[in-house]
Amino acid sequence: MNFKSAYCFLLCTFMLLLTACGDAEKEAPLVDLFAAASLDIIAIDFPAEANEAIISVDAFFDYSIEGLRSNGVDSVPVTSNVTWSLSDGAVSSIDENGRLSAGSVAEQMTITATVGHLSDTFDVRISAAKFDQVVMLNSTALTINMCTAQQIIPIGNYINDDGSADEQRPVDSRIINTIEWLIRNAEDDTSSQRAFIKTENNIANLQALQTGDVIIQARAPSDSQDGTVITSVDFNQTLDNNLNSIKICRSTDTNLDTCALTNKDVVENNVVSLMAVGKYQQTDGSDSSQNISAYSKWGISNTANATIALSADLQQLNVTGKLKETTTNVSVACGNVEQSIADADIEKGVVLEVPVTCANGNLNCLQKSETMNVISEAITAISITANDLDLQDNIARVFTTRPTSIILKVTADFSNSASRVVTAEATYFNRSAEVITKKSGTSAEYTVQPTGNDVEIFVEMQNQNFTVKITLPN
Amino acid sequence: MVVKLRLKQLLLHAALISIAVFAAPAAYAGTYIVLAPAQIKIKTDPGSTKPSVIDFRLGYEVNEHKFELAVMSSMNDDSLNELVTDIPSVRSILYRYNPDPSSSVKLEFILGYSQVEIESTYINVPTSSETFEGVSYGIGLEEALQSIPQLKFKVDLIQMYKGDDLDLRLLSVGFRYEF
Repeated sequence: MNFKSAYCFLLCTFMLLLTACGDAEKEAPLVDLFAAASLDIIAIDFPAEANEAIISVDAFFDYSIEGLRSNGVDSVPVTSNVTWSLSDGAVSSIDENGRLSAGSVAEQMTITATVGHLSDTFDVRISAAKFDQVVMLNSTALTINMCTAQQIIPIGNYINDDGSADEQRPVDSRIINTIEWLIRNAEDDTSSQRAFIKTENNIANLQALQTGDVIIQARAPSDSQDGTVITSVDFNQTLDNNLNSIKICRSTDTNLDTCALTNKDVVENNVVSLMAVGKYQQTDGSDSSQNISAYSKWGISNTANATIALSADLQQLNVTGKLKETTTNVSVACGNVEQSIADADIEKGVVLEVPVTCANGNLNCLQKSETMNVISEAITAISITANDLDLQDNIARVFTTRPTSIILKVTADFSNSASRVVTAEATYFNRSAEVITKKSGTSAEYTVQPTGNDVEIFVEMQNQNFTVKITLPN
Repeated sequence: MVVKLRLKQLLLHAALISIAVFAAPAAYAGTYIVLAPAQIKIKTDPGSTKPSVIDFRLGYEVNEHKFELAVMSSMNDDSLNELVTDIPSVRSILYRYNPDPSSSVKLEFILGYSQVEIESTYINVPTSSETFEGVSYGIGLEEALQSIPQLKFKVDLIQMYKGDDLDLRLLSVGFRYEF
């Protein structure tokens, strides 16, 4: 190697790299095209139904945009490659996810969303008007079936400082989480378990658990009345039935119309996930199936054999096998079941340690139960040692000295990647009784007789077999 | 502060390299050509495409040093959904250094300067063309064919351009013929 040349090469490389620099401005048009093309969109816009034009001071709102696909027909939510900005001089701010945090003063501004070379704007007014009370349950009339849920957008009345009415608009982020929802049965004015309204992440969901008419009220502190808690007027809501059938499927099933629980086995100490599928009749007469696990009531006949629990998102029921070679009934029902339900269970999902049932002739309740078989853990392989020496299936292991006894140890590998010693659970067939005899009171310990050389023991564990062969010296 | 590479600097560096090379005693010297199909990956954060080009090079070799002029032209465009990208032309000056000329499989370090023209077409956007130029660097591997020793099979992997938001990477697989 010529060291002078190498030195020069390295020096020049270093200098060239130092002076190398990109040109973001020049690259921008091409990079912008890639940003839009990667999402396959040719235009973006702010969907009016998902974005608010008026926001309260000190509140926040998550703005969203849609992209028009290159086919010119389909629209898709756009959440990546979006740059958000506000018009100059705005006191409010907007983050990279489109969350507008309103400032403490009223102002008018324009939000700009940019995706590559595409952009759209949306005018927003930050209002100092104060929340008075909820005046509508939702911006539009709700149609909801039992065992389903729908997002509601409560409408609030806002009042200016001088007492004049400002506007009615969706309640803002500061208020929606403070609302206490009161639900009564329409026919007797008693507290109702037919529905529940759950607010999470500033989104309120009406969950219909039974069919029937209910009266809903919203109770919330009123900014315009110095924090006095105001209870709204009654909102009448009907919870429709329209449930034609209910069935239980594996949670991994994707075709809800055709799914069925064909494999009802649950391995002991393992979990099988199920879901309740409801088939509803649509207004056009067609049927539509959906996962109604979260809003159904679940029960089990024998918790010693298996246990059940809803997943964190309530979208599936996890059945854990406890006692092998047993069965248990898992039942699910939608509607007003015969069993009493605690109010606290309504919110977190109803899971009872008894079967859930619908009363005979109750048309407002549908149920389904499945018998689950708790089976032994599936063994994928077994390995055996004799006096701590590894053995191979059906291959003789030659002992160099003749022991007085042979002690077998059987280890099983299970399908869940676990391993454990199963010596006491295996079955043994001694095919060399003239050479070894089994010690009484043991699982797999044998006394070696004075004569004979070839030991053979057939070992069986579930569907796994192993032939132990040992050659003993004289 | 953005500092751009000037042609003057490049020539200066090339001159430095040339002085060092030609000052060394020449055991071997000769010209060669390279012909290879190549793929240039246009990489951005949101996505990438890989148009293909024909890579033609004329070079001069002195001991462990090679100097090449590369000219490439479009062979196939490539698309990302409705975005069509093409590379009509590439021009490069490359210096290659082989630290171990006696090896049967030669590993070479590549340094140079490239101009890459990219043409893009997208719905509702006029077809546009832009040329990106800058320092190129990479590595190459080559091995002589036993039956025709002056014909070498070669592979080059070169970062043609490295920008703030855009990378252009060349993968070239072809043959080099020494005269």
